[in-house]
Amino acid sequence: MSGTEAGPGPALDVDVTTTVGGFSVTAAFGVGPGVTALFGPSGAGKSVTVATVAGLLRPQRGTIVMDGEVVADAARGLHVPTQRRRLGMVFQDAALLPHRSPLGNVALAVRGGRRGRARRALAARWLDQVRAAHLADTPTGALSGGERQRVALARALAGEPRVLLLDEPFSALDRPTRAALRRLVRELVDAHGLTALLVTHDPEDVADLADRVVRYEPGRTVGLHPVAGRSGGALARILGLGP
Amino acid sequence: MDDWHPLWLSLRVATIATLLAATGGVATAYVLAKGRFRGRGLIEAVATVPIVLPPTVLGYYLLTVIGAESPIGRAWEQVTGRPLVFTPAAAVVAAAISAFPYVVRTGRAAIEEVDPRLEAAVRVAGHPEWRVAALVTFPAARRGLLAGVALGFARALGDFGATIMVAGNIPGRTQTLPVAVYDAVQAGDDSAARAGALVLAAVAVVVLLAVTRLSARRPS
Repeated sequence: MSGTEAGPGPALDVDVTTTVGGFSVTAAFGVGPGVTALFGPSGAGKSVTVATVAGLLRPQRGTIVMDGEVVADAARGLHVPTQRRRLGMVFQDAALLPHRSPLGNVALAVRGGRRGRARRALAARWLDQVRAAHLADTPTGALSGGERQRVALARALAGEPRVLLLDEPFSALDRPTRAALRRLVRELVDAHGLTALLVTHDPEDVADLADRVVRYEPGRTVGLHPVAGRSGGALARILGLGP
Repeated sequence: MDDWHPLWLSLRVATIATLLAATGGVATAYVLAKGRFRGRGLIEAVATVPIVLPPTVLGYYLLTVIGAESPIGRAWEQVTGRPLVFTPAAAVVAAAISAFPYVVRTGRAAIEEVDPRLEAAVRVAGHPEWRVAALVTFPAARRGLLAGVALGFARALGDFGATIMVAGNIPGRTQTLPVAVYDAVQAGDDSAARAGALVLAAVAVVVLLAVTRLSARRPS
């Protein structure tokens, strides 16, 4: 399970061990554009890997290479700060700033030194892309779960990220909303040629959205597999759910 | 109470002291909440010690730090031409030091309660740490920070022990309202003591009500 898959667009190579509160997670995979699901039981360490890729945690061992740039190398003590990794991130609960409007939240992430009106105009375009333009000035407290995640997705994309990190973004949503958001993510990943990591413990997320899946057992990754074209039974076996 | 000077002096002293304690206290609270460095425990202990020291002992140490023979006292006298102790400015120093731990402790708890994912979201969006603090941490913690500042103001307004040690009890000059109440009791002037005590008690109750409201509401 090494080497980056062929294809244009940003590649992400991860080979790290991160220890948090005495729990170590070793992750090794190389992926290209498209959606890579990090699948496994709760507590296996998927979110720890995503936080390490984001630079929110420092690995004790190994390297992370993003689009050809080494952003973490434990042996050399290299740790590119989160701010300079050019990422987009969507959290389980959206993590919208409550004292800012949806438009204000997205404007916060708009890339480049643009100011004021230009920034807000770009933010409005991103909101439009996630079909949430009508929510621009709605108080964030009045948004539904699905609406919050749309705004969070617009904010994550507004930074024109090299890698999009989706940390269980659908897990708090009802089934129809999850399905709609999965379609939206698929559409945006294809339209922008994004490299995305999706943390999930829901096999349906993998089947419907992922191009490939990295399977986790507690504390480590155990395989990288393509998803496309596999039957339900074959996929279940890959995910460790089948006989 | 015919003489309003102690009340106005107390309000002036407490306001300036609270501004000083709020500035230093919020910065210290942020460093204690976010920093991971050696000596953090010591800073916390020093910042908290005015709460547990007897006010007269705090006043005694303040006298040694800002007294006429101390480096700070001498520097003050060189700049202003007058000693610092036994002036309204000394009362401000005593009140600010007394208020400081309330701002730090309440503020630190409020900053630590801010959802780290909100801060991470802004960090991921490319903003440097000072922008993370300005965009997320302080706005999200504002109720707790305000509660700490309000408690600090109440403490500054009510300070007696440290104030009388470093600013003395000079009527019309350094006599704050708590000191005036003490003076009135000593002189048997019951009506003046009652009026002063009532004002201080009313301010304390109003501040505590405000703090309770600030603490009870979720940030919006």
